[in-house]
Amino acid sequence: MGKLLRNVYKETKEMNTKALVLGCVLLSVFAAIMCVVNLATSCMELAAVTGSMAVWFLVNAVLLGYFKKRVLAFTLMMAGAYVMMMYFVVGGGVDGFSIIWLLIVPPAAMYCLSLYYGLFFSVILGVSMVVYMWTPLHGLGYTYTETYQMRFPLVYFLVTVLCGVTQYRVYEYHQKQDVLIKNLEYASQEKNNFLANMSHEIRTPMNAIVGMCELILRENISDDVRENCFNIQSSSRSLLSIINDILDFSKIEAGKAELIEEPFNIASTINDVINMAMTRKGDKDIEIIVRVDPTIPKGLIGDEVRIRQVIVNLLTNAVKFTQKGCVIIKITQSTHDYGINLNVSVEDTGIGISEENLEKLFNSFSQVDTKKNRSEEGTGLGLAISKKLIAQMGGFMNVSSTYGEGSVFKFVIPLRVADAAPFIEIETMENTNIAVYLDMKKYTHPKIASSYRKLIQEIINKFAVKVTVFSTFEGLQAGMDSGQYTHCFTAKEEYIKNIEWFGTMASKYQIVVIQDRFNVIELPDNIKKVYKPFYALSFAAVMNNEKYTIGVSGQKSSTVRFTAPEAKVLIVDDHAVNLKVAAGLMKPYNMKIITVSSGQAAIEALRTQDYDIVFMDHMMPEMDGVEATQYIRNMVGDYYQKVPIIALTANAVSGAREMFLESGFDDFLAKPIEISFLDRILRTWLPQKYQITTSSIVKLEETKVVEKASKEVLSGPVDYEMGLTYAGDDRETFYGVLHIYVRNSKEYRASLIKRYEEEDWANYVTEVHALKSSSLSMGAKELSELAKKLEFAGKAGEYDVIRQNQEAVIALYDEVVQNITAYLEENGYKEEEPEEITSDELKTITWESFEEKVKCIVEACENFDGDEVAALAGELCYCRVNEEALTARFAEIKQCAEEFEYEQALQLSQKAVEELRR
Amino acid sequence: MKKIWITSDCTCDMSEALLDEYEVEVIHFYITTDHGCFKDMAEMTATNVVEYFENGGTKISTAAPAVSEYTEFFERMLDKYEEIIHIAISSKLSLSYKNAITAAEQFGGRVKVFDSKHLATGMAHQIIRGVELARENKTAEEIVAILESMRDKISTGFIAENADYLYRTGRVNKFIKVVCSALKIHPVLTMKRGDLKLKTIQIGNYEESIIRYVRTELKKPSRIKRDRLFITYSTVSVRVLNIIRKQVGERCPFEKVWETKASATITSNCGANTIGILFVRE
Repeated sequence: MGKLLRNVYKETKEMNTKALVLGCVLLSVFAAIMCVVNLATSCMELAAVTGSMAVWFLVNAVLLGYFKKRVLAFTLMMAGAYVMMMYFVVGGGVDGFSIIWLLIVPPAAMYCLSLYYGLFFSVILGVSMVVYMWTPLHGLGYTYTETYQMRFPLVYFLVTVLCGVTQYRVYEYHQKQDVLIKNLEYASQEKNNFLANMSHEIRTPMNAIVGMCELILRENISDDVRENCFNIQSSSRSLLSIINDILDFSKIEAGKAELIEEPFNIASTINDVINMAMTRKGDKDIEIIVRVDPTIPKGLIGDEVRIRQVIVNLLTNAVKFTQKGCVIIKITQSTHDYGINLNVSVEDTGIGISEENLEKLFNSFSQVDTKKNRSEEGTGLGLAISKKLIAQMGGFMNVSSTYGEGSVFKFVIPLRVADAAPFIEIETMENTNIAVYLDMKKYTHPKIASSYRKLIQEIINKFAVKVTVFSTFEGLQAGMDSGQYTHCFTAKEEYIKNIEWFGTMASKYQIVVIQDRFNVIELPDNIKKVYKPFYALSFAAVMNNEKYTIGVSGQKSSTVRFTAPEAKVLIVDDHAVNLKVAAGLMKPYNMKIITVSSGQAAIEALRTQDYDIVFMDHMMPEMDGVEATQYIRNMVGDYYQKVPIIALTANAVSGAREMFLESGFDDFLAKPIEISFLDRILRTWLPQKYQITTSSIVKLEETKVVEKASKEVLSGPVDYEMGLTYAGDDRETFYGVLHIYVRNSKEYRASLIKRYEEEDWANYVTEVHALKSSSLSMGAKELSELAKKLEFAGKAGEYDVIRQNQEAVIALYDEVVQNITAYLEENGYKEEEPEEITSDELKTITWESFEEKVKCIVEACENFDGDEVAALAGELCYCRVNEEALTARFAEIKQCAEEFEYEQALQLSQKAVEELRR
Repeated sequence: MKKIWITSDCTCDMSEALLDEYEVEVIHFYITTDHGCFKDMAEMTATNVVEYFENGGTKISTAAPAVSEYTEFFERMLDKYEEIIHIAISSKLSLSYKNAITAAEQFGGRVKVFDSKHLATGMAHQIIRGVELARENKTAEEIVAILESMRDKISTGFIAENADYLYRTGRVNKFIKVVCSALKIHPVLTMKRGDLKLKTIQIGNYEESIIRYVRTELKKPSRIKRDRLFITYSTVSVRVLNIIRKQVGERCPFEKVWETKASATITSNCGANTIGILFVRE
């Protein structure tokens, strides 16, 4: 009984209030009808009772629905129902008929309320009825016949038991269902949690397999072994991609995929996805057409990594399932108060999707047309993941398709704006009149020609530029003869057919040839080349006179979009050339750059100063970058755990990132440094407060490489064009780097020979490792490759290889140095030789004045103001104090400042004061 | 330049192919969610509305284009046509008619705004008829008069799986919603004198209810114009579509049957699994 009462109470608390209110209302209505019936049959007593009950139930409905007094209301309601039923029993009604209503109580109570409550109520009522009928109470009210007294309770309890048993069975079934559902949900959640947590454990060995294969492939191995290794690597990459998809999906399902919203530039996203599409396309005969609204704000706030992931997924599918025709990616925007809606659509002329398959397209793990697409790889998760990611971002994804003709996938996401300036700008279009010559008939699919026409029209509309499209060569000739055009854009095929004519025209007009990345043709210096896909950004780059190529790494090497004058950067590298290159590449950002040449020096520097970001070379002698980083991370203080440390490495293999992260680094940057990667690292890791967006595009120098160099120099072992690119197209920096390379060559050469002769292989490997990256930064590819070979031989203990190639590497090194020296002379570069300052030119200054200037130098060093230090030191070179000339000391200090070695400059300044004090 | 042409708004639920075929341009409504504001049909579709609620989205509101947007739209249209007749969703259902009228005042009578007193493809019937008349070089007054005369003959109605979305938009109260869910009641709604009214209910299995709905709607085929029928739906499965196609084919075949998806605006009012057959009576 106690258990019954407890269950009754528990069930009352858990009952659905809405259902109870409905029940009360229905009972009230029932009682009201009974009242009316009784009134009609002149049973006034019964009518009074049923009328009261109607009101009673209504009051309970209000108690439940409005005041939420569940237990109270329900108890009162059942009390009221009990009173009413007992009245029927005692009153009898018309010929004792009223008692029949008791038979509806068990089923009504158990089905409408709950099992225990209904059973409880039915039993109470039944017992009350029996008490009335079988005790001396009988006769106080209606007197039932003996048959009724004996049989009615029997029937009543039979009905109660039957209803109870049935309802119990239903109750048990529901209980089991609930338990089953809970177990299934739990299991599913556990599975998702497990998979989400397994990310690192699964990816790490997979990355190691891919990385090891890459290292093996770089060795001197037989063709069979190379092919097998390549297959392992290729399969591992596919498996890694599948695992990534599954883990990604599980993360999203487990609610662990968080969006990281940060400011980003849509230009780099577009660059990356186009590169991917072009790589994926390979030499497939399809066009990739890009139509982008150039007025999209350049600073958007969102999860750029996820947005890119979705676009890449759509593009991958489009390219995968399209054998001929084109893939069109279109990116537009609509503006709103909160920012913009970014609209992306990917359209293809591929196989399309049938109506039935469209329904299950976004279902996880399902691939449509599995028989037809058996040859295509994939988990079938990409679209499901993409859709969920878009939904998480507050957007929507849709698809439309015609089977056999193609599909359009599109999504829209709301994004806030960080910088409303358009991401593509053309400085001036005054006096520009453009002729475009494209033979649209060569395109086999009609969609290609129509898309190119729309692309051209959009460029005309958005940039307000005059463009005339010619579809025949004769038309173009007549047009160009009129002399009204300033530029002529044409495609490779059209150019080749009329190469002489274009060559002649190039002397008068700017000719631009658009070509594919495969089967590239060489063009004269005065004709610009642009790689496909040609779109608004490449058009703007041509019109802005920038060097713009989308290479494999997707670099746009000519713009810096922010400066950070308050940021302090520490660069650590044991090789002076690498330091110079890195510092030179960072110069446009106007940051305070400090360089040191060892791990130990980096630790000391971090002890004395807080830096905002540290770039640490991976391989250095004595204390390498990993050791230094681990030491720093173990230093006491929050700052040392949080300061971003970026690994600089010449060994960027797959899985490298994970390895560096485990070692305490926050990210890595491959050498030679690609400027777009450097830009991304700085944008990611420098505190936002230091990043000041530039309002105009900072142009680097005109990138016509090799203007005056002789042919002999050009055909040597150094590719200067490549080297200039690695120097960020900054000629001044490039010449400075070359000069340092030459200046340090004697010392380096001697060091390399010494390590070799002493068979100090560990340090020999460090030296050739540095030679590998510094040579590549100059463009000395052959020397870099040879250095790499020696490095790996040294690491593998194959010293015979080193012995066989030592002479060759020294000879090649000498040749490179000679070549660079000649190149610098050809280009009129001379290092500022310290002037010979005669004693007549020296000015005597007082000790106080000298101390004052040194104090300024020390302050400037502490503020990393290289220009100020150089200027002050330069002045002191022409001075003497206490009868001693300051030239030599302060020439050295000036040089330290130019090489960002502020610590050394500071120490030399202080030492000068101490030594000269008398 | 064409003399007179027809425009409308996206709530006419005509597909892109149909809009291209009849050269009709539409102005878009807006749907506002917890995250942003999206253009109906261009950025957000009926499926997206349903997904949004399934993914835990709590509120959606729809908005007609502002007067300035109508002005811009009419300006653009008047570059191509001398006069336009803009067929708007029923004035009792949206502010779009009023906004369009205000914008049209600036164009010196070259823009006539017509209150369709219908929604969804009930408007499409009028649009297509209007285009046919325009191609016959009828004047604007003649076209408007003919469209007015056919207004009351258009049967615009649909069956909804439940009253959840109708409750969300305030068209029914909570009690009705609960009763409909509990008792598997599927409301059948119709347009009467420009307003959406409950016509009848169907009870029981939804697919069987749809069959009964189609039979009821098409019970007097001799009084139905057989030239065209629209089957308009929010989100239904191919299976359900096949059921309707079969029923229509058996009971009252039409010369042209167009199947179109409802706009997000309409879907956010009627809900998922809502389907209607819209035709013109004799």
